[in-house]
Amino acid sequence: MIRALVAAGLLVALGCAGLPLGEPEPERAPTLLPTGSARDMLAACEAEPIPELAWGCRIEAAAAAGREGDGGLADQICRPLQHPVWKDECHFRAGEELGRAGHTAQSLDQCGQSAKYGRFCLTHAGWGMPPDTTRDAQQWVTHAQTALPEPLQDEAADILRARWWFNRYVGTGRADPLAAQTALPEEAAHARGAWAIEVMRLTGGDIKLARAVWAGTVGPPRGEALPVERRVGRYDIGLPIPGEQALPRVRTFADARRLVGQSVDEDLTIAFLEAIYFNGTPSGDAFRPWLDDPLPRVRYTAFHYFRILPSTGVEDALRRHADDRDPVVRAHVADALAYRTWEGKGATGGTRSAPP
Amino acid sequence: MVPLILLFACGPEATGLARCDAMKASTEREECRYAEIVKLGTGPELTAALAGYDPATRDLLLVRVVMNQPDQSAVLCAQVTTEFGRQRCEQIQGRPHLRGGP
Repeated sequence: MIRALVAAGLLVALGCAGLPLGEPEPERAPTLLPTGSARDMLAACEAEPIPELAWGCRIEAAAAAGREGDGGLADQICRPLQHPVWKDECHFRAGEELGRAGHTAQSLDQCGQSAKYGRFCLTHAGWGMPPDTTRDAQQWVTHAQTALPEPLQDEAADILRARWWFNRYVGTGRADPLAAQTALPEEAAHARGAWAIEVMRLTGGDIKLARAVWAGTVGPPRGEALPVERRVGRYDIGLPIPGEQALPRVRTFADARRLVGQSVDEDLTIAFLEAIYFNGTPSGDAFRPWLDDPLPRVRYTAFHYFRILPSTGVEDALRRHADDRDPVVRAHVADALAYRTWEGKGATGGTRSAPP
Repeated sequence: MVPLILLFACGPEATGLARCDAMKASTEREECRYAEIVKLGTGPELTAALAGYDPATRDLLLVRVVMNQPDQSAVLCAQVTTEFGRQRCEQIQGRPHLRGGP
């Protein structure tokens, strides 16, 4: 009886004190993300007992698989993820890394699985594509039509064409217009836009000379090729101006898009204006001559940039158009005056930077 | 007699995080703590509950919450102090779209 009471007392003492019957396991030190090959990383992820840490681990492993050009392994890594954010992010990371590594088709396949991040994936993957133009843009567009959900296909085509032509011309030190002049009709505006950036860079922004190059009366200029990491420029996404939204546009750089002219000549003027901004003019004065252009899309492009850059008398110049008979111009002016956009308050994406 | 003593000897059982902290197996303990802290939201109650833990344990719990609610990363990631916590938070904070929530 006494022995039983002593035993019970011990049990109570231990149990009520909350002491386990043995040493508690030490706190587990959480591990840093793995490094090494994608397969090594996957093995580490599979051994991770805490689900949330395993998710993050798989994201890094998928990115590594993308860098290694192994979309199949990325699929294997992402497949077990069920969380709606991390499953999509996994394919997004794989897609953008595959794109950056030049595996465009596999990249599109991953972006096609990245659901709500599909558009971001496409933009990152597309603009990360290295300057390899051995295959034509149409091949990527065709692949995108099978790899991507229908709502993303047109945007993909726009991005892929823009990037392909950007790689074809921008920063190459060569501005022979022949390739742009013989581009497929659906790529022609992208081609002109990219050619315009390079010819304007090589001619010091001389539109008259650039037009002569296009016309063939002056030979194509040549100049210093830029290293790939410097093939970037300034872009402005812009605000949607009523009356402009229905007009056709093509992608220029990253998320930025430009109006497309109704004739080749008009489109070249727009492309030259876009190139002036992309190549980094510091003043709105560069756009002033086109504020009264008879072609509406040229005018709109000029206003777009004139109003977001400082220049002498910019406010007065804008006020002179406050009662313009064109409602789109009036909308540009009203927005500019309301936000004093030339002071930098209304510009978006206005940095000289690489795409996202 | 002995069973009666055992039945009435102890006071009220430990609850919440205190109950988890008393667990012997580390995985069970971590899961128990996580199950408790997710009930606290992401505000001051959570911060107060985590205050008594060592940095590694606190960051592990914070990271688990952040991974489930990336849109709360700005608040929660400001509280991490270890290399582990910072690394995991960078995974989210460098990706603005993740902060838009699922």
